[in-house]
Amino acid sequence: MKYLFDNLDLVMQHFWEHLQLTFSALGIALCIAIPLGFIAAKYRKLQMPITGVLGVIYTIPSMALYAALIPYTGLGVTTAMIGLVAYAQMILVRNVAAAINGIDPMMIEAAKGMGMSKWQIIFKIELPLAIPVVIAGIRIATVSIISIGTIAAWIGAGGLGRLIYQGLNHDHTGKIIAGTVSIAVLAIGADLLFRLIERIISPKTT
Amino acid sequence: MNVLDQIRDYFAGNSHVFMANLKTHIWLSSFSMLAAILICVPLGIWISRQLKVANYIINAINIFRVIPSLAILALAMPLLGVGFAPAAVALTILACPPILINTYVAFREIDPAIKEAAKGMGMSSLQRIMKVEFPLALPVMLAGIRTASVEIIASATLAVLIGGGGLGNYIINGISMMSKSYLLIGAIPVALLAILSELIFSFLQRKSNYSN
Amino acid sequence: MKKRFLSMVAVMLALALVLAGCGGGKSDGSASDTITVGSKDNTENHLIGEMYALILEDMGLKVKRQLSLGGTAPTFEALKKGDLDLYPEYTGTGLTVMLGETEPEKDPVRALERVREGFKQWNLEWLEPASENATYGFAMKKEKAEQYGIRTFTDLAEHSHELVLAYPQEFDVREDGLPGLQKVFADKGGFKFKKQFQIDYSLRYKPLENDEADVTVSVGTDGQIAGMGLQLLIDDVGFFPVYNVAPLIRKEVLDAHPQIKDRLNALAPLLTDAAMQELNWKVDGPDKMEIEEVAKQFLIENNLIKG
Repeated sequence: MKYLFDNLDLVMQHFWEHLQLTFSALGIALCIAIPLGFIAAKYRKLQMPITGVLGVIYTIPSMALYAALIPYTGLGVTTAMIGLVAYAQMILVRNVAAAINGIDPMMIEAAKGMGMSKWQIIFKIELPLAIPVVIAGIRIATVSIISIGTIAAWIGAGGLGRLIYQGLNHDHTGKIIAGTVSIAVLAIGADLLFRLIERIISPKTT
Repeated sequence: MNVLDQIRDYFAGNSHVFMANLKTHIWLSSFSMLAAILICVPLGIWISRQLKVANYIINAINIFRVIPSLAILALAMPLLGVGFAPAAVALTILACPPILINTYVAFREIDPAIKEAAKGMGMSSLQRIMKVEFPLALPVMLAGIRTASVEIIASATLAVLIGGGGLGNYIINGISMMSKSYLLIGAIPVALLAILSELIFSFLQRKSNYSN
Repeated sequence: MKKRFLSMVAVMLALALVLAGCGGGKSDGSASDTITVGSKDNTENHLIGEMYALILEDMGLKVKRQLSLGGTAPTFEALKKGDLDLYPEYTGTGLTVMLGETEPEKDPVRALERVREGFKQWNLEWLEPASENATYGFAMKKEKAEQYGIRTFTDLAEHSHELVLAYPQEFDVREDGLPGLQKVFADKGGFKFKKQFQIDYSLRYKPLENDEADVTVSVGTDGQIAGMGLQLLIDDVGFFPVYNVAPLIRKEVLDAHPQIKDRLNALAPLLTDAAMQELNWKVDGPDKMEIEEVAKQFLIENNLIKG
């Protein structure tokens, strides 16, 4: 633990890099996962193939994926993000689909009865009701992204993985612990943040 | 020699090595899965009844999920040595969160009226859990187990880094030697195992849904 | 409801774009007179990469560091792509991994010729190699070695069935690794170990420390050999190929800055096995010195850069 306290500014630098990486990847992942999850929910036939493909991508060890990407996208943050966004899809898409499928069909019937158009139903009923479940999924996905993000150091994108790998490569237990503790702190922080958002956003139904 | 030929060549002389690695991978994954279920299902049921402690325990377990497996393995080595033991421990820790959380949520979501009814019928706590709550909770629990299984199969590829063997052997060698054939020999069976696991558990999940 | 949802999406998008925008160095189009120096993540490679960077900076060039990348794959691919301009590579690795040669090379001069020729296709050049030979070897605790009377590879082969071996990735599948050894020693004990397991390269000495293994695959320049008081077995059959480290550089960068050649070549003769072992141990051993420190000290002491 001594290393952590002696080198706090260095650790903070890696911490900040990791944070940036995580939230950028999250934002982009959501932009893809929300429409994709929606499609998977509405078109049952597509659900199996979509989650199937994403599941397979998830099993590709991140090191192999990054090694394969480098000739095309090179070192650094861009490549790291592509990997993180791809991995996050499995959790997010499944989650969005489950959220939308979980909406009480009665509400939709009622909305139709009130004369709402298809798009109005999507934006006024389905998406808002899906949000709390989606946020819970985002919470879980974020923790995953933080974890997989440690591999970013492998391709020069920085982050807390750098501390852990250096610790491993140079037999420096202090660095491994510093990296590990920092990641845990980041994960707990993100988890608490999203729990807070969940509580604020949840529809006030008891 | 193209990749397909290299793969064929490899299997021609080394199919027994491949089978050994495959078996180790399946064994490691199944064992950790089972251990995680045996530990985290009862734990999940317990904390569903202790709302105060619930959040702390869930958060504590989630933390382990974030720590890169290689770091856990490296730190565990002085205590657990190399080979099957540390790999199995790391994988079990990885599998717990989805199982624990889903069990907890599943049991908490059970309509209290049903639990009251069962109590009223004179069932003991254990009987209530086994005969009434468990079947109702099963679908959501299975969803958690399903997620955990895919994670374990994928993460078991790291076991080789600490002497645990498995299909990760090919993937690590493939990356080190920049050999597409090794990568595929490792990655494809892993992907197939994950898909198989998905199919099995989603089938079980659907069946448990219908029987409700 | 709709407004809240849409505004949430907008906020997330904005956040993502802002963070992505100011986040980290993008890997393209940097100023053409900045040289990007890379290295793999093992101690030695990281040290030497840092030395190249310091020397270039001492020459007045602008240097960007991308050190400690994860292994040969990302590092070499990045060099080919142009994301890196130079990094320290081993002649042996160049032959077996990049050029796919199955015939291991034991003559350092021939090894250099072959990689220089073979790498022309990628417009990459090898500068002068150092004399250090970061080749594979076997290390054991002194007491164990004495107990079994093992000093050479032949001795090891004879006793292999009584011992446990730990080896890093690749070793069990390369011709210049276990399979090759088993062929050479087939009638002398065969290198068939009582138990053998693979372990990550960075953890290769741990099983020896914990006595989970009797023998581990070592690298000739490892600091642990002297630092931990281990016995390095003698390669009495000259089995392992030669791995000399040299700067692997993109031709166009070398052409643009030809002075680099002499400055980096001046480093080569100083990197002997002994020197390398000592440097490695300063980082890996109990001192746990920072790589930048160790590299800088070494260069200043040897008058390769101004202090």
